[in-house]
Amino acid sequence: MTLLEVNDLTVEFYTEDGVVRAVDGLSYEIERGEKFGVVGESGAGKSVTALSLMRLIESPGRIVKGEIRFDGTDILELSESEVRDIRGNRIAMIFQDAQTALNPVYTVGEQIAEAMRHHLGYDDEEARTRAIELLDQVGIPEAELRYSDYPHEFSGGMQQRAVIAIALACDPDLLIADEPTTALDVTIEAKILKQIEALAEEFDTAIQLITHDLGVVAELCDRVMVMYAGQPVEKASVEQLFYDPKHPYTVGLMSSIPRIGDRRERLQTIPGTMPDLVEVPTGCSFHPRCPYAEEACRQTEPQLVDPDTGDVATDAAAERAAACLEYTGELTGGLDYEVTVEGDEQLPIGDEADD
Amino acid sequence: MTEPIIRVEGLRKYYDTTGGFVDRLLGNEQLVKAVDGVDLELYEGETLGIVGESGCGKTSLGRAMLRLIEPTDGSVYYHGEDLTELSSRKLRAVRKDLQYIFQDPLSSLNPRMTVGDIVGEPLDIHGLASGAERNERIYELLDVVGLSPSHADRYPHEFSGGQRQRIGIARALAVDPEVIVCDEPVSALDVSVQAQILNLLEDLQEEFGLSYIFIAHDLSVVEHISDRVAVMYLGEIVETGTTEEVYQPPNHPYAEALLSAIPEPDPLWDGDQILLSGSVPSPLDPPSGCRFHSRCPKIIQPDGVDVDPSEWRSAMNFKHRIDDGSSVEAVVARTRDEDPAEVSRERLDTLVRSEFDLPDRLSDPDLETAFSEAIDAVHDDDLDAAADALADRFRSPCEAEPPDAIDVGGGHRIACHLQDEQYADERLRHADHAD
Amino acid sequence: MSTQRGRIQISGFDAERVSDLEDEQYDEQPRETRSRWQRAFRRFLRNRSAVVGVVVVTVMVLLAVFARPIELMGTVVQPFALAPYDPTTHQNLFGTGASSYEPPSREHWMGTDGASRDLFSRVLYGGRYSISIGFIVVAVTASFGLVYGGISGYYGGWTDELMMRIVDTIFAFPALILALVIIATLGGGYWQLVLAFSLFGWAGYARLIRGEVLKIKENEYVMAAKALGSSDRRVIFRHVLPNSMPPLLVLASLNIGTVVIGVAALGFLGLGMGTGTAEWGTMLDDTRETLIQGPDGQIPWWATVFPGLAIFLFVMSMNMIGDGINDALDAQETGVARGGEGE
Repeated sequence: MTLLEVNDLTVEFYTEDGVVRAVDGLSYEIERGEKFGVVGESGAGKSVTALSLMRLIESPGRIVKGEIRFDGTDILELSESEVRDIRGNRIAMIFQDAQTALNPVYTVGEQIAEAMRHHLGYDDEEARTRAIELLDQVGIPEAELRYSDYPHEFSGGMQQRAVIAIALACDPDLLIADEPTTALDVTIEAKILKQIEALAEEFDTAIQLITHDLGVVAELCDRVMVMYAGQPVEKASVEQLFYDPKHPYTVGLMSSIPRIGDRRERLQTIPGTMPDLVEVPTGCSFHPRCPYAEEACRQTEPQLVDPDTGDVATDAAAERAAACLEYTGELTGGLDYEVTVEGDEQLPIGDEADD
Repeated sequence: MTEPIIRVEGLRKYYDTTGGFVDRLLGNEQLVKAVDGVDLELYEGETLGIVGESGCGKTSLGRAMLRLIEPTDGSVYYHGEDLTELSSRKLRAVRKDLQYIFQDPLSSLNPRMTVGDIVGEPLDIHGLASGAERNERIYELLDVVGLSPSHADRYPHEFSGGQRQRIGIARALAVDPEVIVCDEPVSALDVSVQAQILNLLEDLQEEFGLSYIFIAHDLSVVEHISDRVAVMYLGEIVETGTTEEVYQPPNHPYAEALLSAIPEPDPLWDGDQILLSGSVPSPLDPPSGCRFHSRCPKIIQPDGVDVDPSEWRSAMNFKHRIDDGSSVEAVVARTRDEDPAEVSRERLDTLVRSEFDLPDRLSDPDLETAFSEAIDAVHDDDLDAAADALADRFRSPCEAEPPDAIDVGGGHRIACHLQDEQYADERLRHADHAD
Repeated sequence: MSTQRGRIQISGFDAERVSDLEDEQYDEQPRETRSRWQRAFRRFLRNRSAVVGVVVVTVMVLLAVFARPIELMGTVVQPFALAPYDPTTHQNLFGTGASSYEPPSREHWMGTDGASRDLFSRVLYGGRYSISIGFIVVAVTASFGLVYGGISGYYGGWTDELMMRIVDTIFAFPALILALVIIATLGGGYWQLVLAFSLFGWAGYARLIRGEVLKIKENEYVMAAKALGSSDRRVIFRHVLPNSMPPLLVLASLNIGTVVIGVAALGFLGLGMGTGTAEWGTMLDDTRETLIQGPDGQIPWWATVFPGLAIFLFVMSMNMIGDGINDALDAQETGVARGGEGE
């Protein structure tokens, strides 16, 4: 059953320079226990999306339209106190910067216990023992002693573990992880990712992972949504996305990352930068940076469509969708990129040639 | 081989974190050994990558090399001249040839200066151009890095991250340097912009014959751009070689773990990731012997011990915990149902074995005996006695002796005892184990 | 499943092909470039109370300047006289014949003081002392504090240790007491007052600038300047000090008010300018006794209220300006959009 369903979410920020539409008509859904990735560069609207789910958008930002159905109820319709009951309890969040996410004047253990006392009504002793257990579960050695340590006495990786422990304290249904490993070193990143995966399994928690790192997505996620300039441009299963990307932006992202064992002399880049959201380009917002752009791309704003049939696929339940005019037959030149996977002829996805 | 442009010998950089002058008088000095005896060479026209995790001292190394921070000890020869000996006047003149690009493009640009003035500053300092010629040169530099001359009158805050990094690059190029130290130049940038900057750096290298020292934590980026790579751990270089050599076995166990841990952007990739135990030790008090021994999955076993490597690693972890700990709870965490300080001897034994992933009986009888003695002592809440019980059997040559950098062929140097002929058997053990 | 890395290869995504479309769209957008100061100035102008403060202060300064003609070495440099009477004229003897403590009237808008001088003229003219002392003291102390704090922060170590201990010593005494001691030693008077507030008044600036410099020193552009081969002097004057100006400006603008209050306080204690001078604080002092019991059992409120109001207005306005500057310079760049355009 669907745990989270986001429909046509639109968030605007009112700034000195004008109205910024940080998220524009976003729809997606996450099943129970599913690991859903949101990929994009800075300014794509990933973090704003996450904050919207918790209804944490503050002035000058505002959710102007859309609905966020969590377990059947629209979060946007709830009262402030009802939302507070959900936050940290049924939807929890892991932030990129663990150091600022922890309050420096309380001990780490206290911060974990606090959430449980507040939401689950544990007494002090119960909360304490459970907090120690959690610390142990997220892989902090000497959990008993570490319970009464202050955040600054933890290393960066351990701080992030502590943040994960806080997030899992109330056994949430949905865990939003916003760049959870970006600030960490690779050896720690690998461990934390494994940990998140194992814990999600154990607690049967759905994960919405927000990241710019395609390696992390490949490792953790089941389904992925790619965002560009506040809009979703592609939705797919993780295998489809990596082996058979449909949107030129996704292709560009994948071709611009250096990979180990890749012998290319030069990286193929996406020229330019993400547009200023005050003045989003006309038509397809990616067209100024797209090698396949044609006149039509300047005129017509593409919708999310099923790349096989060309049918509109803007609803939350759409499994596979890409927002490119190619799939509605409006491009004359076509997309002539090619994805090859060395040594693996048998791909698990229906792999039709890209013309 | 040709003479290197830059040769670093025994470079050290210690930071004094002693609390105040009272502590200093009392001799309670606390030194962070950020860079501890590094030797490096940089050859003309090449890119030398320096990789390591945060806190390994790579930034300190880059800065100490150019004397942007004063090195504690050691020498840096640039065309045979020791930079650490130069007077500040001479050093300022040499700065023309040695440039630096910073990680954070915003904080490295003065917010009150226009881009034109930022790029023009080195021209003013070294009296390279003035008046119309200066403007001409600024426009040329902006053009070289892919910005438009019309950007010269703007301020850094008006640019995106990638463009700011281009400004930083233009500034470094203004003096027509020979060597540029790039300190994490792309780690603050978005994926697509990162690729643009990497391509730009490569183009510039070709056009101006630059040599780069490229400091980064991202191994895929380093692999892409470097000709040779040095891997750093806790202030020391553990492995150097050409990129091909370093990215393939044989490796230093740390480099091997680092390489294996990179998340591969391929959902069906199923390589083995080596997960290191523990976290990076404090550079205030680095481990004795080989600095990596406290986390090394291939830590060497002493004569007469022959157990599975992972069992040995767990055994050593147990020993370190006993050495550092102060109470039973430091060894085994308390749970909701059990307090390890209260349980029976047998239960404690089980708890410890499960905590450290040790088998029911250690496969070496002598180890098992020492282990049981230690558990007895822990049960009596006497951790010192436990440490004594383990001291004799639970030890490794890696703790005792710091390894030398051993040339494993063609300048590929690995600072690990496993490469020493003396421990050839150990190498075999790991080779067997891998199969 | 595979353990080989780098299996996925993508070809055909050719950035070179990105058409000229991009250039048209993005490059050379005529776009106004604004420095930080200009942006701060705009924000300042949007702050209403700060603008009111500026207007009030400007009017008061102009009134003080144009209150009576100014003569410099025998030539009149400022011929206007907005004040209706000479502030030192005893009206009962030489003027309108108004007696002492005459209430406000058509002739004397603010009444007269105990020596039958026209209060309105005196209040206007009095700004010359209070305001000019405020500005001079702040200019002197801020410049000295800037250099002192700059040196202390930039060089650090023992220099810093020593210089800051001196500042600590100054801070151990209340500023007004120090000023009082100096006036008590040297006697009252205009330049004595300037000296009294300047001699130790720089300590606050020194401490502020030192902290600021310590912070700026950590910025990479300082190291970048060194990496380019800049001399210490160049680093300090081009990179460090200009960036430490904003907080200095805020403190200075707030400090002008403090100094004016201080001058008035000393004047009220009879320790400022000579008795009878048209300085706001001294004027209050001259009429102090009337606060309790005026002549004929009447309290001539105008004799104290108007000079007091002048002090209040000026100090209040300076504070509003100071807050305005603070907000204008402090305001973070808002908005989620990055100022990115095509590269």
